Amino acid sequence: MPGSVLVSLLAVPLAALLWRALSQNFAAHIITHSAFAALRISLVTSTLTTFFTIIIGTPLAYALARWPFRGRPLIELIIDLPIVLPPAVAGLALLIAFGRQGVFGMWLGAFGITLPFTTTAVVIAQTFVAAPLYVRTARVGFAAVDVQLEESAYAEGATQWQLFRHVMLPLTARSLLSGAILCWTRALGEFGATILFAGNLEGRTQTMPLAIYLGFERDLGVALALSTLLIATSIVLLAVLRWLDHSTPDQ
Amino acid sequence: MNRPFYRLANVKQIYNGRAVLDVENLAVERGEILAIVGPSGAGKSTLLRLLNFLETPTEGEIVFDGTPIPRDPPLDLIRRATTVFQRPMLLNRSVRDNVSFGLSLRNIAPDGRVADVLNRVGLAGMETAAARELSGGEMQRVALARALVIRPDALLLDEPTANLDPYNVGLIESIVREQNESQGTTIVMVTHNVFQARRLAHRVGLLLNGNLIELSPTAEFFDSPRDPRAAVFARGEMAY
Amino acid sequence: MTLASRKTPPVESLGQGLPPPSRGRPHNGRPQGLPLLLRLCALAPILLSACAASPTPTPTQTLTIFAASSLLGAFTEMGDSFESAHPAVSVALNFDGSQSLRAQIEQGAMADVFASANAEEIEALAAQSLIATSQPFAANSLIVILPSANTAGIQSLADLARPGLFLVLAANDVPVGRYSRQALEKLNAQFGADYSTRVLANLVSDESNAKQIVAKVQLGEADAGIVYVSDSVAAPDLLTLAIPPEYNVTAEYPIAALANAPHPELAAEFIAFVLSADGQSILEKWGFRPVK
Repeated sequence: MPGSVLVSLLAVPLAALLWRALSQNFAAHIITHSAFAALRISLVTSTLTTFFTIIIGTPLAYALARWPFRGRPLIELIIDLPIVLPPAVAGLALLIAFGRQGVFGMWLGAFGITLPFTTTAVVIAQTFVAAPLYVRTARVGFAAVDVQLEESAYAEGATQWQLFRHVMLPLTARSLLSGAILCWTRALGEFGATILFAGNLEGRTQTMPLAIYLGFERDLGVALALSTLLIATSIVLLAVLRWLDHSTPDQ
Repeated sequence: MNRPFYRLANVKQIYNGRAVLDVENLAVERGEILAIVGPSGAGKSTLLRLLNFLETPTEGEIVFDGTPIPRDPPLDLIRRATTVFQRPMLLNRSVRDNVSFGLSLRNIAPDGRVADVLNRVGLAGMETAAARELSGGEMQRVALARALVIRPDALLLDEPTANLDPYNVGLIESIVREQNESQGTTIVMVTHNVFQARRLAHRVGLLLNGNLIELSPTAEFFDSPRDPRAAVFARGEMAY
Repeated sequence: MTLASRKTPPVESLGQGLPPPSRGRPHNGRPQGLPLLLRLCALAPILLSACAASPTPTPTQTLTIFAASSLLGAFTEMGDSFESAHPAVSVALNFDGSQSLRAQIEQGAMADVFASANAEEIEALAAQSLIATSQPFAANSLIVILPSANTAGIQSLADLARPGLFLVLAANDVPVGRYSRQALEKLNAQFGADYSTRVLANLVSDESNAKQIVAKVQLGEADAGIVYVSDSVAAPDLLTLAIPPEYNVTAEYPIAALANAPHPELAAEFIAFVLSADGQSILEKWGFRPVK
């Protein structure tokens, strides 16, 4: 069966990597200083990215799902674009815009704000590539809610916040959580935009994928251990996503 | 004579360049049951949505109990009217949670109000049942209870019995009549069932293509309508 | 990784066996799916070679060269020269970090020649008998690059220690990064014992290779970087600060034929060409120093 070829292509390298990592004193490598620093930077930045994305992306997703405002197709295009763009393009675009010599970056510089090579830049790079996944998922979730259910609550005297809190949130929590997990996973794996826009400095901008890439030239053991950690995290998150998809829907 | 509860003047609602509703003049009297009949697409639901602040008219003015409705109506105005829709819109929670929903929105302690209103809709003791697992008629009565529990000044009914069996239709009609008689609630109901209009309403209006072509006391509407199209409709002969 | 192959011999030789496309569609006029597709495939390389001005004879052998990224410009030109001297040979170039190239060779990648930016990779391959002998063919030293606007106003090597500058270097695990730190240490003798510490305090990014450093300095995102002289030659828009020879670090580039090279004679010829006066002048043009 030809399908098994593809499945093997996907499974064999990952299994080989895990086998190699675990046979090479995984524990000793994961507790090295650089591995720990990369882990910390990755967790902090991807969590911040997800947090900001939820705060800003949720109202946006709601607006896109509900309000037929002018320019909505353009906004939808802008949101979908980073999903298909190579991350290196994202990184370059961020540099051109927010770099020290960038269009917007020069203006920020006038206020003493410099973004490139900072942890903030890591969060911005991650948000650029990961936020669209949340907004898309949340938009689909909001769009699936019966409009009349909202109108009914509005007719009963709900404020916008009460509407969201008591009607929309219970019905879309599953979609929002799925979107947040997708966003978080993507942020955790972000490499191309980060290395271009934020650079690579241990303890400041070096995330796990960057440490893995540089570990290739340095200490393969650390790269293998971090890769294993990322694979394990991804498996757990995918399992949660599956569970969210399969448990009985609310509406 | 009291001032009317709702007054519409030159109200036009235009979607994509087409006027779906064009009402020159309509006064809904305080404490009356007004039935709006008409075929599908005549603008009945749009009228109710305007009366419940779900839409703002493209042109014209609607006065709610003496207050012209602004473009962005304040919450205390919105909370004086409510709608029961054709499909019961219930939260996936217990009957009690559903009925007390409007009270919790207003930070009002439910106290005895939930049990009281459930008693009135014939669902006494059903507080803990899962609302979405009830029969269609029971669900619609929960929806009605949700509307009644907040003691609205205006109750708007959008084809509330269209999907129900005769038993539940009768039950809901008697609840609506009782609400009007005991509480003096102003009720506007939209239906395409002329016989329901005849049973319940004090006055009946006929909407055709967005225009209110007849508005008369019920007896007059059915016995001596001015407009010939209303006569056809009143006999239940209009095909739609 | 850059895989640069300026000719496409396998496809071209495939094209030869097929009827010339000028014969057009068969006379019975019925569209034939697969043969038509084949003819179109055959057409592509012929059209491509038609774009080249001279009707060169078709190459029959492909010489595969693995070369360190810093050799991109020099070896691309080297390959062109070699090809014009050997009409029957096509040179395929694979540029990458020396460590990556070594890893590829260890994992069984087929190559004829390996030109590395440092001796360690060659020695490691020699230890595994993947290489017999090697010889140095070029030397490269370090230089400080600055963006053309030089908004930070860096005038001398001493300025690199000024707090608040954005300095990018290659990571310590990459040869050029290691050499850069060695050069900074040596400069302590001139600018004070804490010079290198103060300079490294300005480090904002450990890049994976010199090209990334050049890009970040070109964009003006970094105020300064340290790269090979050859890298700065390839980016003439940059300003440079020379590092005096006594403090500089010289990287010797070794070249070797691989033990299991598919074309050993050609490999030897190519290495000889690199070491010849012609080859050395190409390297010099790209910022390398000849070896004695």
